[in-house]
Amino acid sequence: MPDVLAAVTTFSLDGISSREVTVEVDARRGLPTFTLVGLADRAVRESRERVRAALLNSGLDFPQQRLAANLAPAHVHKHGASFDLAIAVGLLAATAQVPQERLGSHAVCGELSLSGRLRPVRGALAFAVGAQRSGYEHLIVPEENAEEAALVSGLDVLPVPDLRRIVDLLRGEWAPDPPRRSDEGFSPPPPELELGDVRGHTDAKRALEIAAAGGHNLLMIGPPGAGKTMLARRLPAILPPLSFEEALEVTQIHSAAGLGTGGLVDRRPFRAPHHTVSPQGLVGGGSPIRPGELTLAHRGVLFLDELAEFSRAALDAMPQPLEEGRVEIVRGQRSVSYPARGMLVAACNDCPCGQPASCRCSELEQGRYMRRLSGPLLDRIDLVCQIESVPTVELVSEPGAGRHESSTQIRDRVGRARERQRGRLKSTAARCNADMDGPLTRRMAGLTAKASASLLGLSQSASLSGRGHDRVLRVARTIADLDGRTDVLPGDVEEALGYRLSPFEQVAA
Amino acid sequence: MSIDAACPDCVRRSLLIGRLAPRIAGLLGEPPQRRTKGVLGLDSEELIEALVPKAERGEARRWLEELDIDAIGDELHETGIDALCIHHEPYPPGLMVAADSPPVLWALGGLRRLEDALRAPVVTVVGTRKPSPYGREMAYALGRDLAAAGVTVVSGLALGVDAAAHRGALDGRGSPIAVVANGPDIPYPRTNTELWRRLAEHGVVVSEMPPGQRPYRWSFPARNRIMAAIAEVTVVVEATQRSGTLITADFAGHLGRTIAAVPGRATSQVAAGPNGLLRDGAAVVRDAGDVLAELTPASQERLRAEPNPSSSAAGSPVVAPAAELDPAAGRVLEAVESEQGLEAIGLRAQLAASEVRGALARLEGAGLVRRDPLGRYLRRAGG
Repeated sequence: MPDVLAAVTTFSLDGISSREVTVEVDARRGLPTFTLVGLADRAVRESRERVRAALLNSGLDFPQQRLAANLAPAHVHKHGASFDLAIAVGLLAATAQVPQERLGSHAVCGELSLSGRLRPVRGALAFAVGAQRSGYEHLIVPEENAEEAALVSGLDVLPVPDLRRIVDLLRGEWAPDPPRRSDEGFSPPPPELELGDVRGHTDAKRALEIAAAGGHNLLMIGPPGAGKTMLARRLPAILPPLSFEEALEVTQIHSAAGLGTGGLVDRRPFRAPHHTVSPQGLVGGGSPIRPGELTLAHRGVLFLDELAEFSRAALDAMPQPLEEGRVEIVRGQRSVSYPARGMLVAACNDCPCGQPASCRCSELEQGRYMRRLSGPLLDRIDLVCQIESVPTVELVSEPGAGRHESSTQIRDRVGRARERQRGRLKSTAARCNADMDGPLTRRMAGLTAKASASLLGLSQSASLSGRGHDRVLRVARTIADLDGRTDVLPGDVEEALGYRLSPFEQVAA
Repeated sequence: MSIDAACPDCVRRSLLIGRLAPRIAGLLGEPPQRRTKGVLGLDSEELIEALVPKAERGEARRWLEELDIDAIGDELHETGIDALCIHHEPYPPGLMVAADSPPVLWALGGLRRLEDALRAPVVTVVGTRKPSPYGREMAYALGRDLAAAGVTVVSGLALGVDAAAHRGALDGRGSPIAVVANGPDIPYPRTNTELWRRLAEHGVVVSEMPPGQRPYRWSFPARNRIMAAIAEVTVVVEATQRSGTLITADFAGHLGRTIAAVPGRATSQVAAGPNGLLRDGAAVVRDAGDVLAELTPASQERLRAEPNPSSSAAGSPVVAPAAELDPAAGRVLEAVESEQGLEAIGLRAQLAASEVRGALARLEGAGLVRRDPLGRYLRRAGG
């Protein structure tokens, strides 16, 4: 048998995007060994055992030769089992069990089971994007990843069940059915939970609508059981539906994090991590580096219940990514950047004991509880609203029934408000009112003379700081946008003042 | 500052009380009773006999004998604390009638200021450490409006009602007096450090405990007897049935001073104290005016003759008369008075959520409602 060298292209995950990896396999006469080089982690090195068993169990030949596989570029760390298939195919090609001519146009990815079946991998969408960008015509993927990979147009995705079929495919003896393509006629499904179903809570619903319309982060304060979580879960229902491009971004993130559903993620994500989450779990990190909840909530809602119970370190890690819409994680020589453009909805009790009826907490305790929230994170929150328990009477017989709007009506209004903002902010880096920094806010505020006078008059009794002032302007701008107006009127400013955040330092009178 | 306004013997007795402070609790029995039962009225020799075991009395007497009063005076020079004994001006005249008057008051903030403060009518405002928002608001408004009217407001620098009354009095440009249960140089509780600093700057912090002395369980009720004695009127804002605040009221009653109380909801625990006092005949306090009406004619005359010179700049906010409110704000104001949440306010006022917030902001601007740090609205007192 001649000594042969084969090269197969596959991909590794880098953040949520992919990096091309070439697997070179060299087979030559000598003592039978199988070495694997190229900064492979444990899971990758174990690949040798899976490949050996998969080949033999598929009725293929595992050569008794001196085998060497190199994962290039050799300086990049490689994690996980998604290289299995590329190593196996390289070995088959190096030993002439499959012809080499198709390997120039086919990229592969997949994990092998000992039986030779292909198992799905994390990040299939990112790999497909990478394959298309690098000019490959075909991408061989495990069947479970096919629908997701097929979201990339201009790439022929070949779903394959097992190693045997790949041999047939590369020999030109078999071709799979094309996978279902879900980008054709994309129409986002209706939200799972409706805001229109909620009874009472008119003030909170109004606050949610403003938050949705301007992309403002929101803090809800209220006793346990008043409905904070219930309301937060319904925020996605009044956000504009995901566009196909946004859905692709979200799918790519969820796929890279191993949360993929196998197809397009077409609903806005809602993430509600428990307050014991670590800073790495919240903003991303760990080894290997994984996206955090902030990134998983990209284009959706990140809900932090019991905000005061989160660790200081976790809360302190949040403001910068919230500001920039991205998380940068630097670890040794590596740095990874994850998108993080979700809305933050935080909730806390109005008192550490959480029992408003019989609350006997001292000022000291309340002050300590509230001060845990203060600082840079609250600086990123434009709206505060109080959530009150709705009396049973009201749940049963609501006065003025029929006054309530459906989620669709609210969503349409929010969509139009966002449209206005996009038009106004075209030439800036901001996409919605919440993105505006101080100077931009003041330039775009659009207050009428009367509204300015009203704000000036009220800002003293409201003891507004400079930043607090900007927050009021941003929220007032959104309220006017919801109403379809260019001018911000006194009423908008007054309402915005009602949602302001008071400094918690001054708990006493 | 100085020790010039105190006789050496009075200082000795005060320092002896400080030295024996840990033993006093033992004398009061187990569980320790909250009142000091005249222990503090004993003279030095009696104190030693009552509190010191026989074997150690000689040593205690020697310690007392060898106290270097001049050296203590020199130390005071650096601290800003004055010693004022019962035989010197401006020892509060009201305090002299008590059977167990403190031999020395240690005062931080200057004797001149104390003298000025005591020349004005004195009112004590006390209450629970854990008031409701309403109680806090009432304490603050009473402190502010009484100070603005020229009254010297006394309280105990505790959390809650006391702190709110002090803050109000400072905002009303008065010279409030804080009576504390430890050395006046120690900010206690620590949360009130900033308030303590402002009181030392604009008012006076006084104590019968010498500088450096920490508080004891018994020294709080002991402090209460001083607050009750130096004031003409003692106002109880909020207190539970078993509150130390009621001890202050009790002392005031025994001294024949006027007891007044702010009425609260019958169902509220913190209103039980004042409501009980009201049933027993205490004066009803709805605002500062009700307190002023309880002052002696002489005091009222003094207020007319010498109003607080700096009060014109502070005091009550400019209140827009109800007639000028827009109808929506007027309806919201009525709803706020029932102390319910925004949801209920909207329903009562028949307004959409977006209008409620705006109306509340206008009312806040007009000084008719106040927004607490948690964003809840309450009717402003004294407006």
